[in-house]
Amino acid sequence: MKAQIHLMEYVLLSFFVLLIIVMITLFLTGWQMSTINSEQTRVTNAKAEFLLRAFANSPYINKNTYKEGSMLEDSKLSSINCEDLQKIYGEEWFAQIETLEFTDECTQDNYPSCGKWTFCKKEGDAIVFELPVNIYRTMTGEIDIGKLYVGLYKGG
Amino acid sequence: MISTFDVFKIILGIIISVFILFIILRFTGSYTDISESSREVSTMISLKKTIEDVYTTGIETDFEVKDAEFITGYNPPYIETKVSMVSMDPVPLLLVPGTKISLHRNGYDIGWWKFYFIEAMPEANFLFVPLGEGNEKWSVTGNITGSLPSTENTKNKVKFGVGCNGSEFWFGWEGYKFIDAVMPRLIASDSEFSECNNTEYFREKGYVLVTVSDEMKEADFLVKPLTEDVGYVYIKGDEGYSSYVYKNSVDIAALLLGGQKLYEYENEKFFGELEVAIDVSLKKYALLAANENMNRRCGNEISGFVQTLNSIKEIVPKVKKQPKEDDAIQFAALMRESREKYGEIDTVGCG
Repeated sequence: MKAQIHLMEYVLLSFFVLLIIVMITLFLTGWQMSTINSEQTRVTNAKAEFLLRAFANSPYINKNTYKEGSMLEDSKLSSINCEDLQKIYGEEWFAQIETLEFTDECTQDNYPSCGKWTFCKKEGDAIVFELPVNIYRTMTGEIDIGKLYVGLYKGG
Repeated sequence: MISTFDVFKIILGIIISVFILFIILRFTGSYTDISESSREVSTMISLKKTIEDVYTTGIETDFEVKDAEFITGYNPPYIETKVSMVSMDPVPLLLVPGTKISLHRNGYDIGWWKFYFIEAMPEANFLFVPLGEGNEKWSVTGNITGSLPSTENTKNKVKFGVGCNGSEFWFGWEGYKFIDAVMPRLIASDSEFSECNNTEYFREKGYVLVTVSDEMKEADFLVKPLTEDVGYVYIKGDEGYSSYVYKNSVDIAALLLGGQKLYEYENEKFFGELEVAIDVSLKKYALLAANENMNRRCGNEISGFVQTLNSIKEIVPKVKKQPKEDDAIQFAALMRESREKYGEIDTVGCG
């Protein structure tokens, strides 16, 4: 009887030692996973930020003579579409440019009396960054103030 | 006398100890691997971010990786390491792997369109060997230098020089200085050079000899111009020479830095972006021409420019991959024409 009790003691001791090892393993794995997740978030943020800066400096929507960027040209914005930009910057993003003066979405028909351009529809959760930009009005040579929003879909 | 219970304790103790030791060793091994991989991935993320920063700002910088084997290869657009492959898309990147590299934004600017790309490379020495008469060899030499990094603001240097005159050569200038200070003197003094007779010495010292000649010559890397923009590049390999038609100096830079693989990748990116730029410009000028006031002011200029863009659009499928000499010449001429026509539009204030 005494021997059986001792035996049980050892089995229980072994069980708890194993339990502690498993818990330590799970803790370290969990910690590693959370590090990977935070790294993933950092990467997604960096990608969204890159897209914002790439758009602000893109020769496809900026006025040609402004090499430093952030001078978007309304005639270029009205001529380029989502597919064109996706060919250069890839997929999984959307962008919007708004002037303070006009809120109408620009089309070929209402140009230049408009002040909003949307590239690729917003669908689902996204990290969005914004940046103030100048918008050059090709017809009049005037410069409006606006905002550029670029969103990257989570996991994109 | 050992009892049965003591034997049981010893056996159980050994089994549990071995098991614990096995788990600890296994986990430590995996954990070390994971940590090593994480460090490599972090370095790659950091490199990608640096490349993107240089692409968006144009500010050149240096980057250092821990050892020469860290980057195992560049298979555009993927940079490969032992544990990962990271895509550099959408940035067009001409990379020469190394431990200490400098990163530069360079571009092909034609007024109405700019094609930006990044050059990332370790220290390098380029020695031009301009042969033959005429000034074409100098304009080609200047264009090639302009398409390679100018490292005045980075620690890792790319230097240029010219030779040979017997065993003599002149070397040690960085990009802008070579173009702005050295080349005008060489052109003005009508300097003549001959083939380098000590090629083995240059190979040992790590110089890349770039021979520019309008005739076929025995050379590791020969540029044979046909016009100011177009010509052939011959690269000596184990099985003789490979020849490539170039349409601009960016093609030559890609071939110099990474051979056929980089040349094909650069062309894919170049024409991919050019097609978008043409479509956007055509739509933009259709939009502007629809406006009566704009049409009156610069309708003629717009019409000429649009015509040239349409011609480029037609010829692009022919020159995208392995272009013929005539098509490449026509393409380069049309690109020049488009620059001039755009200049006319810009002059009348409709750019």
